[in-house]
Amino acid sequence: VTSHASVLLVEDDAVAALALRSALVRAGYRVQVASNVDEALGLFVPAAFDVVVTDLVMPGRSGLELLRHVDRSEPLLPVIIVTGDQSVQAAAEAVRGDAFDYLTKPVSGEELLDAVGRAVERRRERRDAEEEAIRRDREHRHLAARHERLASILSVLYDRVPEGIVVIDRDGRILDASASFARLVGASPVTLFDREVSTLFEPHPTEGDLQRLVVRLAAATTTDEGWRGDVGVRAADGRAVPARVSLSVCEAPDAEGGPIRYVVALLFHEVAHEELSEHLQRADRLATIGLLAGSAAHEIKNELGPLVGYLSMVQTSDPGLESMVAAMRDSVRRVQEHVEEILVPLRPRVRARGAVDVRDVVDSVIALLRRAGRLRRIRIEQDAADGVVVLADKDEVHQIALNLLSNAIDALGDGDGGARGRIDVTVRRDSSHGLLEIRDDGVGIEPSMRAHVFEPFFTTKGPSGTGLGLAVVNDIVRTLRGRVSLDCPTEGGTVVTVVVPLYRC
Amino acid sequence: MPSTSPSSARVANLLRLMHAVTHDLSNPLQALLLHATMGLEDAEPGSETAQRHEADVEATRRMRTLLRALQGLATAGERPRSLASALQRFADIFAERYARFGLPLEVVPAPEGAPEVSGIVEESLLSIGLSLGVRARRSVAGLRRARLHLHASGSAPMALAIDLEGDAAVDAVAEVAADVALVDASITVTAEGHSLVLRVSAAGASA
Repeated sequence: VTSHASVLLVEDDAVAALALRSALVRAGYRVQVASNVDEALGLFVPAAFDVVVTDLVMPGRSGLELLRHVDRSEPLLPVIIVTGDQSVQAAAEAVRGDAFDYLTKPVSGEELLDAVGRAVERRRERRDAEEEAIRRDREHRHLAARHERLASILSVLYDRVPEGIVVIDRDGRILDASASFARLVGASPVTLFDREVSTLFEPHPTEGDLQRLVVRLAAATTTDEGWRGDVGVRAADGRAVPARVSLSVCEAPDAEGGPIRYVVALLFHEVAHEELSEHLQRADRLATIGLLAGSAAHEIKNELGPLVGYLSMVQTSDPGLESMVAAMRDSVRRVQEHVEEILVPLRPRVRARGAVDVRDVVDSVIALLRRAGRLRRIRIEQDAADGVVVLADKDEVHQIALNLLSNAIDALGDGDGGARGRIDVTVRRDSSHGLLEIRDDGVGIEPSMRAHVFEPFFTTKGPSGTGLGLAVVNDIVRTLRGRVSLDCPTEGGTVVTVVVPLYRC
Repeated sequence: MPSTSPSSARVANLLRLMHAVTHDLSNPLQALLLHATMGLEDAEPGSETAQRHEADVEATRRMRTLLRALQGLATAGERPRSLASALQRFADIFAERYARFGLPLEVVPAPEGAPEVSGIVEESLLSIGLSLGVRARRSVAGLRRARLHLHASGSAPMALAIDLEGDAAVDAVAEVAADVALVDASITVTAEGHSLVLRVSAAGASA
């Protein structure tokens, strides 16, 4: 216990100091000696010593002053008084100063080592207790953070998921309900509290009243019990919405720390299903349109081949038609280019990441949009630096630029037949990243919607939008280890910024 | 035989001096005790060196006992002190001395709730102790045992008795009683058979 413990010995009598030090060193202690209180305070560094052994009557300041200093600066450090002063007054002051022990000289080696050993042990116990308290505090903070995180996750579930969540007490009364369930039954979550579940659900054909089922589950001997079945929910519009309900029992501490049981109901109801189905159907429609477009483009391309051949033949056989045939061939070439643009994204993609010059890609996308007539009455301002080369697949950068520019164009509106607005495109280096910024001066996005713009199928464009543009951009940028951000400045419009790591040779 | 007590001022000065001297003695004695103990630990058991160190340790322990008794007296001054402390100091100071003359001293611990006694009572007790030491030295083998205890059956509020055993007990008791006689008006020492009885009036105790 005593090995390596450190003792500060304060003794003005050199003969006594040598003897005390020798006895302590022999017992395995590390000992530093000070001949007075000022010298001791010079050596005194918090946590440097495990125990202080001090004389009482010394030149200058007394051992009691040292005791008071230790009590203020390091209260856990035990102090043992070893003195030739047997007066009751000195002993009383030492006790008041919270001295660990008070020994009168001459003290035997046994008494000295016993007192120091106990003091070191006390010091270790207190230090251990302090460390334990710190550990518990840290654990408590971790748990608190975890609870906060869980609460945050739960609040997302409660607020966002289309499925209903209802927490019911052991008597069948509602303790909490998700926003979607509240919407379904046409009430605010607060007004649902303490309602009996039987008022919100149609009786089950075989199990009967859902409330009785809940009470039975909560009273079961274990929490492993559960139930699944189809029931009708009394919706706000008076319908009985069919729902698949899953009931689970959980046990958690209440305010007094005792276990209390809840039943959690998860509802997969028709309305939630309809929302999901709508998204899926839309995605399916898009995929179908893509396939149809690809098929049509392929057919057109097949027809264009012979047409080019025939035109060459006509041009050779009748030189008088040369200029007209040249114009026709030029038109056919443009049609071939358009067809190719349709077919390229539909071809099975083999990702080949390498050096991609962002400005080149942006130029080609702007050219594409211009040819498609989408930039009419829109002023495009480019500030594109040379040599911004990122590590990516060219198609990926193309898709990013196309989606962002398309969104910017859509945000400008039709301008009532006049100028529709302005789009600023910036390409530059940003430290070790390449940066692409698309800024429009359009209508901007409502603050409440900004948090959702990167979610799939979320759109601000109404039925004309797929809700996939920014989600796709986000997905690509994430795989490129970059980041994308959206801002709506106070002066209006929207700024989307993408940064992607630069290509390094 | 009436005797004159030293003046309070003189006693106070002597006590202050004793306090300072015993305090200063404590440091060299501390060094002697620890070095002797360590020397004994280092010596080969049973060797002559070990025996010498044993003697050194024993000597310093005796010095420590006496020093503590004197420190106790000095720090108590003229204030009341517990009967237990006074009896223990008596034993610390005289037990070794009597033992040298073949007179074992037994001190019966003061009972719970015993009253505090004044400094004068302890001084009287110590005077008896000194005188008894002289008798014991003179009549070696004539005294076999001394027993100091609180004698509660006396007529005074408190009576301290020293019972002596041995052929010379009755004579020794009479002589000691004559030696110390009356120290203070409130304290009397009498010889009762083989017992010396120190009777303390209510003024001598401070219960």
